[in-house]
Amino acid sequence: MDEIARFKKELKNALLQIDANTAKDIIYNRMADLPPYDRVQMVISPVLEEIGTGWENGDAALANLYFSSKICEEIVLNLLNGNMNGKEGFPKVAIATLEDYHLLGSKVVRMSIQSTGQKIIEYGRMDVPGLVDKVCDDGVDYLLISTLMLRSALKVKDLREKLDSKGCKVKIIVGGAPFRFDWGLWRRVDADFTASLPLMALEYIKRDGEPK
Amino acid sequence: MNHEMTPMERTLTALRHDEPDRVPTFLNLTMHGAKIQGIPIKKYFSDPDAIVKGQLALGKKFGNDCYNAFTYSAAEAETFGAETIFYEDGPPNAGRPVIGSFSDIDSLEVPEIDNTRSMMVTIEATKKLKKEVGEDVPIIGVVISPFSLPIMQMGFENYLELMYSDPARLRALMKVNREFEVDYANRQIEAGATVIMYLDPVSSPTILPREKFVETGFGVAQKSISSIKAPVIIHFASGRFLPIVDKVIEMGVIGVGVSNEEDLGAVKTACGDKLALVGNLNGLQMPTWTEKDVEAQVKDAISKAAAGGGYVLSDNHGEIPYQVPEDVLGWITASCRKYGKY
Repeated sequence: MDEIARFKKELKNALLQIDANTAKDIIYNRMADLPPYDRVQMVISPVLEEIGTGWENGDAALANLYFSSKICEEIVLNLLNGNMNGKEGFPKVAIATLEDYHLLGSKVVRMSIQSTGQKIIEYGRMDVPGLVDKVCDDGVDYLLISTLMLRSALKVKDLREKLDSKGCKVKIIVGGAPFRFDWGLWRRVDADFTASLPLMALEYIKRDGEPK
Repeated sequence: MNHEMTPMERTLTALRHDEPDRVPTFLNLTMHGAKIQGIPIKKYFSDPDAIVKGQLALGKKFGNDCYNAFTYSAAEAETFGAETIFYEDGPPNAGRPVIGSFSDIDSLEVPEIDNTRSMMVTIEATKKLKKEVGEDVPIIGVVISPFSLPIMQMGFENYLELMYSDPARLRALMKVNREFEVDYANRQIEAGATVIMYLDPVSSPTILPREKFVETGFGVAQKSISSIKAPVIIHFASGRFLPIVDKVIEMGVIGVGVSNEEDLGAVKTACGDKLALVGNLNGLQMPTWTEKDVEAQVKDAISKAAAGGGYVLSDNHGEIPYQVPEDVLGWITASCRKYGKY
């Protein structure tokens, strides 16, 4: 097993055990020879992706995903010392929870995405009119929407219409239980993409930004 | 089978792992009771007579094999002082949590059910339903498990933090919640509930790793369920449970709600005659189902789980979304009558 594979395995074990000290030791000390952004890209991001996929497949729990992304976000913010977005320029990305009061989903998304070194604005709980104003004022390129209830998920269609009518060119990526249990729903509410995992959303953004 | 059973006979036979005349259907309908009467959801959930009228109308229209007087999950958090936000087209949401910091748990007291209107609505509606249906139709009582209630009491994120950092306060919170929820379950049973649906999504391996559940939620469930004076069906509200099936069998429940993320055939094999299965039609997909979709889904579920009894056709979450059209509900019961005969 090469060194990077070993670091990944050890980091994953540490994260699943919610052992922040070991995780920090691996990234800060044992990988100190590598530039910070390489540590993020080569070890932290793939490990978080593995844990996320494990949750989707039933091999990991939401608690694992929450604590892993929380530990990694703290490590990465410290490691990059505020120099988010790494080596490449990155579009403006924001996340909001549409109408629901349960914010865990959007926090996990924020923590996971920031753990890859990419900055994301977190709006918290928003209703449609407030969110339209924020997104247009801030010039957001990609808006991630987290929902828990079907009624909130259906509001995305209204959000899309209002953003379009204001001429706000933002792409909408939706996630959360209603979209996970009904894979056709994202198209019916006129979203641009659905991601069952935070890093899937990031992958879409990267692909979408590539020259066609 | 020569005679048509009553819904009660059908359900109890199935739950005993015998084959009734046909597979029972539990359409877990709450908000549709308001829809069918054309009244706002908030008004419906505050009026026991409206609930009874709505349930009876739904039962008559769709041939459902159960009634329920459940209103909304946030009602149980309301009892502790939480705010509820109502909508016209979906289930009420719990608002800002009442437990702001872990130390708030130290002064938390068991609320009096009699002093909380939202709890008494369900109890009164259960009594009235029982008077109407007697022993012909089972009435499903519902409680949020003491272990899952804190999502609404303190927010999901804070609850996960508490679980992993402050075991003493977790125990203190469970003691208060257990006393409250067991009392609430038993009050529903006294009022006429036949069986209690114990909603415990946090115990699902979708939310918690098995080892954490064994250390925490399992004991809470076992103690609570042993104090509830009627049979209990545990429901993980769309969460998986196969990785903890051995512990669920140990809990002393008679059945389990199955997520559509788990294969019903695999679940049937794992549970055998130890647990009856309730599920697992995908409620979130129901709004777009055609009659053919419904037939295919119902046939598939029945073919995987109905043999030998121990199966109730139902949705995977424990509540059918408001957006599901009446046609779909009718097709589900009609398909079950057609394909669910033993």
